[in-house]
Amino acid sequence: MIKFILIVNKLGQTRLAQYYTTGLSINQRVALENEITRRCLSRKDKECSFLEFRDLKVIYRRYASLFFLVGVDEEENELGILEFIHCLVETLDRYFENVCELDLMFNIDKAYMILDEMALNGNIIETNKKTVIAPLHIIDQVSKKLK
Amino acid sequence: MTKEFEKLIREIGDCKSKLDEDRLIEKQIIILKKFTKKKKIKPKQQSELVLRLLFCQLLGHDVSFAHILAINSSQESNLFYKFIGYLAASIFISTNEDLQLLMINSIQKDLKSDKTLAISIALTTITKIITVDMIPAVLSNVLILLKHQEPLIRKKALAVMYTFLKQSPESILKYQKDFELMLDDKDISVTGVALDLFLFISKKKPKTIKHLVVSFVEILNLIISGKLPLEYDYREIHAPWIQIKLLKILSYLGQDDPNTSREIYQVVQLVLKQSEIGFINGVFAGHAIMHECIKTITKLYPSTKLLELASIAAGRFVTSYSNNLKYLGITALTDLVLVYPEATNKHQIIIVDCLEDSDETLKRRTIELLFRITNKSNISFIVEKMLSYLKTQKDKKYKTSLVSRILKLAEEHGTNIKWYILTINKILQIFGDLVTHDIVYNIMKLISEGSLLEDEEDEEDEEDEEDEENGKKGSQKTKYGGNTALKIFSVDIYSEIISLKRPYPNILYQISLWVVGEYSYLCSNFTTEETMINIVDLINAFYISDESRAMAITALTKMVSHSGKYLEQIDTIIQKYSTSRNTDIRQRCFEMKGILKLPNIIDKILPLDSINADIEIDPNLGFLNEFVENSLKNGCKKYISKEERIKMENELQLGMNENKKKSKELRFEAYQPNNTQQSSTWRIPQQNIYEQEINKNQITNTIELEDSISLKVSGISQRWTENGYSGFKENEPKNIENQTEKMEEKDTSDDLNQYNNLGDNNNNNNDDDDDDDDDNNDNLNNNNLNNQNFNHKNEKILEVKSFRFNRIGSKGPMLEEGQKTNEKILNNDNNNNTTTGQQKPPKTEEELKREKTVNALFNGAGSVRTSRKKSKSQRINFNSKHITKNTIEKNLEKTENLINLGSEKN
Repeated sequence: MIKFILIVNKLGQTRLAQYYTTGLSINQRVALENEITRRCLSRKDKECSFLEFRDLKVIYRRYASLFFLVGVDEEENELGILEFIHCLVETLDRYFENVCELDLMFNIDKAYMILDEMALNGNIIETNKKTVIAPLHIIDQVSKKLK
Repeated sequence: MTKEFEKLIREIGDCKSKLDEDRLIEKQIIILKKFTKKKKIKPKQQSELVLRLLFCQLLGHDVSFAHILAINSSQESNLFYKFIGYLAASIFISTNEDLQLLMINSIQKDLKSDKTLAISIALTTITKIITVDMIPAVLSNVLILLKHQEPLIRKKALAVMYTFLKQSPESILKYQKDFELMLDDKDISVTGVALDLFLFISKKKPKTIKHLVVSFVEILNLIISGKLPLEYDYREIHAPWIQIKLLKILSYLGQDDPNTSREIYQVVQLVLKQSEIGFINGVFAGHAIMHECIKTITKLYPSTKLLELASIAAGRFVTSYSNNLKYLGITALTDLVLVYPEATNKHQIIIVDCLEDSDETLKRRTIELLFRITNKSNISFIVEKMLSYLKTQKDKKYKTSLVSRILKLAEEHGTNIKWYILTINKILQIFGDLVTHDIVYNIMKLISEGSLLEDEEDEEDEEDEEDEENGKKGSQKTKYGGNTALKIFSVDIYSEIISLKRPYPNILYQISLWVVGEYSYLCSNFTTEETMINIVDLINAFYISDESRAMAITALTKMVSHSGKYLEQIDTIIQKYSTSRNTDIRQRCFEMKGILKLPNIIDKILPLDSINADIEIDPNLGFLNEFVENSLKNGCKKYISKEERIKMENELQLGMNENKKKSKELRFEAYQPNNTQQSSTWRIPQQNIYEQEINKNQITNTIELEDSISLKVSGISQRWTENGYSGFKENEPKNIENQTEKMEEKDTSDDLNQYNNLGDNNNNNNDDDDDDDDDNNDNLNNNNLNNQNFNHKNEKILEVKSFRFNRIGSKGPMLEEGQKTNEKILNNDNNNNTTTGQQKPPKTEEELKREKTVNALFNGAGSVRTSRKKSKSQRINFNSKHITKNTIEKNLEKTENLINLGSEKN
């Protein structure tokens, strides 16, 4: 099961955070994010994409200046998550067209929505990019009408 | 998008450090707070504010002041604003549970909406915010939505059911039939979500869904045969994540169940074969499935054919160049070796090489695997590798656990006892401070006992050694039995360690000192004198702890008694450490002194190689019976147990109540003059007190003993009572017998009074002198004590002593007792004040309460703090009883003789 999904930049600033577990206060989250990010950033390219942290396994993948970090429990398939990150990035890329850090920041709501369409409760629920993006287009139409 | 929002985002993007970011967000929060006070905010502005809040929270700031904005926004009719509101609320809410109730209303409304998206958003929100209490409010709506025409809604509704199932499994399991229907949904992603539910059930209650194995196998077959829409392919692999889910469910269902497992074997084998197709550079989807297959095979009821395939697959992972795959290969093997030990045979070298990698994650996994594949043939190699890995580690906690595991490993698989000892020494040299003391005892036991198994194995080695050493010890071997070779071996090693004089961890020195002390006579590379000098040097070294020092002194004692050789240096050491601050060292010094004075029985006290000898302990000290009888005949008083005495005292107390009243009246006698000069002249030398303590420890069980040999410890006896320190009283000798009990009573109250005063001193230092006068006055009266209650007193001393020694434990019975009597004395306190004429304001209840706690606190510390007063009372005691230094020493000698007598009999 996925415990959290984080997107941070190479300076360690959080750009998106979704937790699937309750019980962490804001301060605990910040501490957790800092610690994990610090460790991930210090790892070399050649080293494996997994990090064991407390009772969690963190699987991370780097895309240009952005790091995608996914915390999972012992049971989860690591490579499956690694590929899921890639699938997520591809979906973001398809929606934003050449996604970059600023895209995610200006459209944080959309980024969250894509994530919610793909994973709920810490489970992967959808990997079909077309299906994921369809509701977003509806929202876009609605918001365009407002302007 | 307004300019303000854009500006904020750009500014956040420009922040170069956490500090800049925090400053920016704090400014932003001040701005946002102003908005929350406005009554009317346009929906558009509101949704934007919510997004700004979202950023603030994302960057780690508390925005709970404005959570209500998000909820307001979720109640907007426009879908976009609603979406923003729900999104933000679901993120905020996990930190603020009050919001959930505010949300439930609009969620219920939206679940009945005719807009698909509105339902979808509401369902998404439920999965994030729901708690058990809220399930009934939305359950019926969600159940209807399971049959919605849109796959998006069916999928989300199922996801919501999963959330419910996790929160309250019992109430949701009854809808299992509905979930089963969803497995056949025409949309594969709905099936995928249904699988999540069944994965959960398969973990909790696998038996309830065994009948579905056929369906799961069917779906899996369907997927790998490529009958799904192309959109679900990922890099030429058909729906990899759904395959993984299915494999997981099957592994749980087949676990420990041969019949179900047989149904699964074929499809797993097929999937495993198929997964290879996806082996493209840089894409791991195929590997992910293969890895899941290995995991499944490991969990299923073992099938040799599949296990073989799995180990080949794991081999492919381990031998890969990618660290990701290596890591998974190692992980897979770690599980696989438990059911299929042959799996690692071919890859041992590669596995060990992983320890040399720079990748910490990989190394930790490798260590885990190594722990499992260690056996008798590779133990020495693996332990060596592990130790070199351990040296590179910094995390102390991890190191500690690793060291203890390595020690356990060496213990379990070590075949050669000499190798074991050498390995342990190596570990102790470097990581001694991480090791628990158990290992010390293990080693001691091992060396002293050896073990039959080891001997057989050792014989070959011994023969080699014998050749080398030309039978130098050959004659000795037969003399001392089978384990002697081991003892010689270890004593040689350890005396060398001592001779090296390096700042090794203390634990290593402690083992060394023990071994050398026990078996120095077997040592071949050093003479006893050399080793003694080495130990003396070690004792003086700065890097060893007091504990080790004490052990070193004992080792010296043993060596002297075994060899009969004595060095001047030892004398100096004993002189030096007899005054050590550490009581243990001091005691051992005195023991050594004492033992050396008794050359006749020295070998009985410390016999050679006695560690394994069974010592019979006579807890009743039966050997003293004769002595006790003789003493009784000579007119000593019989010992009365504590319980009986308490009973007697209680009975007497009832009759004494009237007398007690008298004691509270004003006294008109003059106070005893206060001679402070003498206090300094009469101080028992520290050494003598110390010896007294030793002596008393030895005779704790026979109180009469102390009485009969008339060790005049009356000074102590009167200063120390059951309840701690007491002054003592000089008294008119009349009515002695009548007053004895009364004085007992008073005694207790008086010494507690003193504690009480101590407590007072804390609050009011000026009272100090007055209190002392008060004490003295009491002391005068207290000397009423005569020989008749001497017996009782003696036991009290011992109790107090034991109390003092046990004081470390926070709440001994003595402490409680002290507390109780403290309370008693508080009541007497006011009365005493009137008798001495001190003008203390009467204590309020609160003060009394505080005092009680202070007293309880100082009950222990009191004994230390009264030492100043003690000297004063000592003085009086010596005055009245005319005890001189000489008589004390005489008495001490007597006791010493008695101990010798005892040890001889022993």
